[in-house]
Amino acid sequence: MADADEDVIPRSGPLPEDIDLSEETQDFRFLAAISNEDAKIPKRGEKDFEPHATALQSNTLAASRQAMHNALSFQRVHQPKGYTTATYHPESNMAYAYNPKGPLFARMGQVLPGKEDPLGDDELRGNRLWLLPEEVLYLVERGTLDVRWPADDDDGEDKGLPMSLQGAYAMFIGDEESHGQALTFERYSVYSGLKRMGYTVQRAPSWNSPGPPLRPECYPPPPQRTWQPGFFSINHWWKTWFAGSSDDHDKDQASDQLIQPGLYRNYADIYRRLALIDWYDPTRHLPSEAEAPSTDAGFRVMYHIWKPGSQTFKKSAPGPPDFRIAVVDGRATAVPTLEQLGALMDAVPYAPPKEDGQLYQKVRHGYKNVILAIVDQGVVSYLRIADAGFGHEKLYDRKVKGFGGKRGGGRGGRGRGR
Amino acid sequence: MQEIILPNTGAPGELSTQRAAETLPKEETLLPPTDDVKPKRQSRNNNNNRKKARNFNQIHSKPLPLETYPLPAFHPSNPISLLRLCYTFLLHTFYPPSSHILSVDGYPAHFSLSTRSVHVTDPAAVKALWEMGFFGKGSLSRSEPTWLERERELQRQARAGGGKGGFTAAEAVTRQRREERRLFKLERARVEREGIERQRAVERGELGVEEVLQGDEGAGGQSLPTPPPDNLEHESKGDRGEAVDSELLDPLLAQAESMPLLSSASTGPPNNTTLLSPDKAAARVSIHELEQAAPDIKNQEHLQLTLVEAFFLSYALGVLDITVPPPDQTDTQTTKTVPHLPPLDLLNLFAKTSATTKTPPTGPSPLEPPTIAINSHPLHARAVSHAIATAPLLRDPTSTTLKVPFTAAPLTPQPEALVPQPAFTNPNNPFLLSYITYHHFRSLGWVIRPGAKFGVDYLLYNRGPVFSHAEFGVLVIPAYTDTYWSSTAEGRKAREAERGRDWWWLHCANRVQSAVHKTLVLCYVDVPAPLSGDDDSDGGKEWDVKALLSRYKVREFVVKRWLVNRSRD
Repeated sequence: MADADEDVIPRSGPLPEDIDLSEETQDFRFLAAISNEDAKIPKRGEKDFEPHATALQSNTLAASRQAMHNALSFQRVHQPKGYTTATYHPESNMAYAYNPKGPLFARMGQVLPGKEDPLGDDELRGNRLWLLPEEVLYLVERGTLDVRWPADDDDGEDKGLPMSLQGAYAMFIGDEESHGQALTFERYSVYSGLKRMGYTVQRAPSWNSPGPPLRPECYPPPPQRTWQPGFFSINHWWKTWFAGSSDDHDKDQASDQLIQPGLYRNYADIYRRLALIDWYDPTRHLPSEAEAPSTDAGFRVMYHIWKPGSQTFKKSAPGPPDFRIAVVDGRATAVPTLEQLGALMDAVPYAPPKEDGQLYQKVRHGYKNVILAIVDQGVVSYLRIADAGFGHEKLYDRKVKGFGGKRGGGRGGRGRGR
Repeated sequence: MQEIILPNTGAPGELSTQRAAETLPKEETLLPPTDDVKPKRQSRNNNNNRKKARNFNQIHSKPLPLETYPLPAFHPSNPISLLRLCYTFLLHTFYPPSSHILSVDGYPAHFSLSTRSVHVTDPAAVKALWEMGFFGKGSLSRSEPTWLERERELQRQARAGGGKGGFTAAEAVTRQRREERRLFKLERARVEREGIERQRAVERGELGVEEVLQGDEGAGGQSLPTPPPDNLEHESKGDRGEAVDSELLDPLLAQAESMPLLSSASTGPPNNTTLLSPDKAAARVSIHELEQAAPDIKNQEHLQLTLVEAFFLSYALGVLDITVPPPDQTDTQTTKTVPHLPPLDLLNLFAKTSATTKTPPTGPSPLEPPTIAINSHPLHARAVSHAIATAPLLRDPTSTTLKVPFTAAPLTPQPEALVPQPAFTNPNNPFLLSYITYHHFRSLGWVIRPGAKFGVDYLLYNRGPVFSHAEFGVLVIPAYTDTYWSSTAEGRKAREAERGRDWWWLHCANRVQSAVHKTLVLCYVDVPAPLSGDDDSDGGKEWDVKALLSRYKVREFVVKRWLVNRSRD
């Protein structure tokens, strides 16, 4: 068939990897049945496209709305078991808690060394866990943490006034600019979304600045000088001997056409002569010394995240992150220019695909990648951008199913169907 | 007159459709087929009435319209192969064959200003360009130029009065499939409507619960209707007639109707009269009468090459000979043509043609932003709707439809544009950006075709559209990293003209690609600073196309949606 693409009408629906359940409309009647112990994902209900003027439809809709209303108006309480109190510290816009219990605190917060601790190096410093603004806000929303304003009296027993959720938002996000800590609502949305999914999220070094000087792992390794395995093999010299007159066409009269009429032994030769355009090689960027990154303010890696089941994560030695997230404001920025994207890619470590992978997988994996979280007024969508090296995958050099192979009938392809 | 069963192989229009599956000699497994294998041969299978599958590997064995001469393989165990090798080598040394043997002077083509494309009408050229590299598109077909064969098939079927089989083009199969889906959707809508009606009746108290259950069983047992098998025979007009009756009953179906209507309108053949003629008794016909009665259909279709493809074929490969009509003559007159243009002038011409200017050309600046153009920026939806909303309505008393003139910039540029000028100071031209991308991917071995079907600039195929569906959709984005574009005033003005791309556009493009199982590739083309023509000697006539093209740089990024849920493990 002339064009297999025309008939690819996706009747099978989206690919399994593209289904994002959080986007589907849920049937909220099932929310009424959920108790605290069993948390099932509600089944997706049938979608109606227009009002039918049947009582059945309006009843169903009313029940769903009521269920959602009930779920949202559920009164959240602090459980006495996991009750933790933290105190707000106005100067640094963080909160600290003493020996908080619970699994969440295993991956959040940090104990600051004596020099950095804003409260000084006193005897409680080792037990004091400092929580970043986004961490505090997430925990307060969740109900695990009770943040108090700093106590006015010097009475050690008095805990200070409790901070409401509005107050917490006002201080930790609203007041951020005065502290220069740069937690915006967009970044908080990304943070809380990822935390709710179970990831471990930490701030990246380039949170508020262009970042530290680029380490050697950001660059591809220098090429090793090894003997090419086929250098002295028989095929090689035989082919060069018989290549014949096709090499004489390197005269510089590319005036009329690139491929001069002549004798060519195979199509690979012709394709090599067509190579005219300079392409960016992601495996060749090798500066002599560490460069200072020049990332644009709108496009910087802000979060390092680790997968939920990661065994290697420890607060003291986190290890390399699984993904790097750059939070982008969808309303304030446009699609990145090459300088912005290039600078962002420079700051990310080199992660090449497997050598023996398939062509499509290698190109799609790319040599460096970063995840952009584009926030559009609270709705977050993630795009993974990878530096593809199409120039490395030369189709004419591949011998798998080369041109003119005699195996009959190409791959059936989808939708050819005849 | 005796009845004769017409075998499928005898008719004239089927030469190209049936190719024998040749088996290559065993020693040439890894090399492309040599010139002693003839791919075109009709099979003499008289008993076989079913359609033979075309061997695409055979037809599209050459990736480019050039000929290569590989040496035969050498087998140490077989001494005759050595002789053959030496013979071929000596032959090639003393009588070197040319790679351009298929197109000695270049395939003839002519440039058409009104359609901003290059047309090829010579049948051998059309076939060669499509088969070897998938260049161009048939102007009356979906992609491969099959109009003539489809016409002949339709005529033959009309004369033969029915019966299946024979050549079915891709368009016909698609039409059949769309028809099936349309019927399926009608049926589904009908079933749904009945369910709603029954529900309403229940609530009104007219229907008891038992009757509802019975009705449900009846409806549940109803399977999807199977479409009629010989859909191909139906004239699209007849189908439309049937559908109109059912459409009057329900406005719900109007939406389902409009889509197949558009499709059938575009693929219906223009000459309806030959089909609707009452040839019911055409089963009794002789070959002799048939041959005399078959009017020789003049091929009204040509192969349409985009400017980018035409420039690639002409400059990079050298297999196309483009003739350009001089500026004082319209396309229809072919009295005289400008002789073969050198590549630089051709480049200038194509670059100018790809962008129109808003103002008349009294002092056009090359940096003027294009308003509406084909081959470069698409029409912005807001501009189009605004133009339609503010345009005065024309009411033609003889027609029943309203005509809205589209008051936009004229599509044809003013006459001075055809004169090639060395005004090559604008490297930001959209033609050049497209061409750079095209050349880059072609030189890597990809088959690259226009991707307007899926909302991207180009589609990348591994071997061709007939073998597999495209894996990548490429969007071309210009990049301005050179200091000229940020420091000088003209540079900044040129940058403002570039379209602002927002995230919604990117998300749309990405979603469309993932829905059709493709990967989106952003191809950033780094535009160099414009050459200052005054500094060069001879007024800049010494520019080399190769040097001009090598100044650009290309960098690709692959964009994929990252799902939080799916990446947890």
